[in-house]
Amino acid sequence: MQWFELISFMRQAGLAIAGAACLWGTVFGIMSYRNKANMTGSIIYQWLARRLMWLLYTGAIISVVGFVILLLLFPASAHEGITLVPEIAEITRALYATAPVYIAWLLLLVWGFSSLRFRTHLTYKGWSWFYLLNFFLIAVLISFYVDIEGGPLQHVIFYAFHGFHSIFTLGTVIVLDFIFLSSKSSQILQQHIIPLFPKISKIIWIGLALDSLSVLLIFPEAVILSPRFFFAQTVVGILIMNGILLSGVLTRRMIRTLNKGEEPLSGRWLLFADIAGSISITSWMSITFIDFFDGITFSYPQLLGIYVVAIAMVYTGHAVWEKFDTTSPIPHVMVIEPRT
Amino acid sequence: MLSRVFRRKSETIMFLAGACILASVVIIMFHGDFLFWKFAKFFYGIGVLLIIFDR
Repeated sequence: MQWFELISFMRQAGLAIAGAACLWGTVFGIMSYRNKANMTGSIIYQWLARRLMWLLYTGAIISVVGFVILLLLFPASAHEGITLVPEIAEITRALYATAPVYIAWLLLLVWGFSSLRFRTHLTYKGWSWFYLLNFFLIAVLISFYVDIEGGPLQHVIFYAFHGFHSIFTLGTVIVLDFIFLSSKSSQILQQHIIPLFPKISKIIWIGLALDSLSVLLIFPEAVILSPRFFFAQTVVGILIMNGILLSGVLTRRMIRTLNKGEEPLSGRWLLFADIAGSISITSWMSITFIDFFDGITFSYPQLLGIYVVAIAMVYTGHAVWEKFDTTSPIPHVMVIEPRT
Repeated sequence: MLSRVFRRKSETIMFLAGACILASVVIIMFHGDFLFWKFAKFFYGIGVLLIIFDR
């Protein structure tokens, strides 16, 4: 395990979080605009879009710091346990080629952060444009992390899908978890947010499909039967089964409770929801993490042991968040500009 | 029991796809055969298409 593999993972995870925050910030901004007739819904969607700014800037700081360190020193990369391992020169070329895009992105972020209009009373339209611009820049940065000059087209497509799918998978799972935790203290927020979960889940499934498609392009040349491969495939199997329970039966049960005013979810259901959420987030983090460590020396049982410990840690983190989260569920002041 | 958990065909197919991938890990580990793994990926593809077009 080498230090630059950790920095590469850091850069990828930061871009995935920032990209997903922008994707869903744009969607919530548009939903806010399209739901003007329903004032409560419009305000809630706008509040969500605004809240995702935290994730955008957190992801941006992580990825920019990672990029600068990599630019000054150097990297390596990978996914799903099946991957091409790029040459150092290919990664270095991509780092230099994307430097102007990073600068443009930084300028946009600084402008967004310093602009009074953005910080106080940005409208639904404004949020959407800001997020959309960020999303395009992040999509370029996350997809073009290897420059294989004159290489085969299927390798170019593999790297692009391989990088980009993290926005739909890892990033979107973190956004989903973030908005779920943010809504736990308020029933009205839950009534607007939980029905969106099946739609958000569709994007996560499409993201995993993109990665699987990219793997088919390099199969079987990139398959190495290592503990890393077996672990990644095990986690993919677990996250599919867990994800379908989470977005299916569990979400339906929560929606029914909220809509019909049935008795609140029992402790068993809440425990199921927390564990399933922890498994989901840990699984995506694990398969992204492990693919950045080409020379990992842990055995298959050791990797599974670390994975279980990580799930327990995420579960504990959820519990701590719920205990100490004092965020006001509904914004006190929200300016919605009239349609002109 | 199963019909109470999985209300849509897409959910059943996806759950089976996940189970097939887990089973294929054992098969690959001991026999090195990828056929079941490819079958699981195909199942997953069908499941995703069904989910995309679910209401």
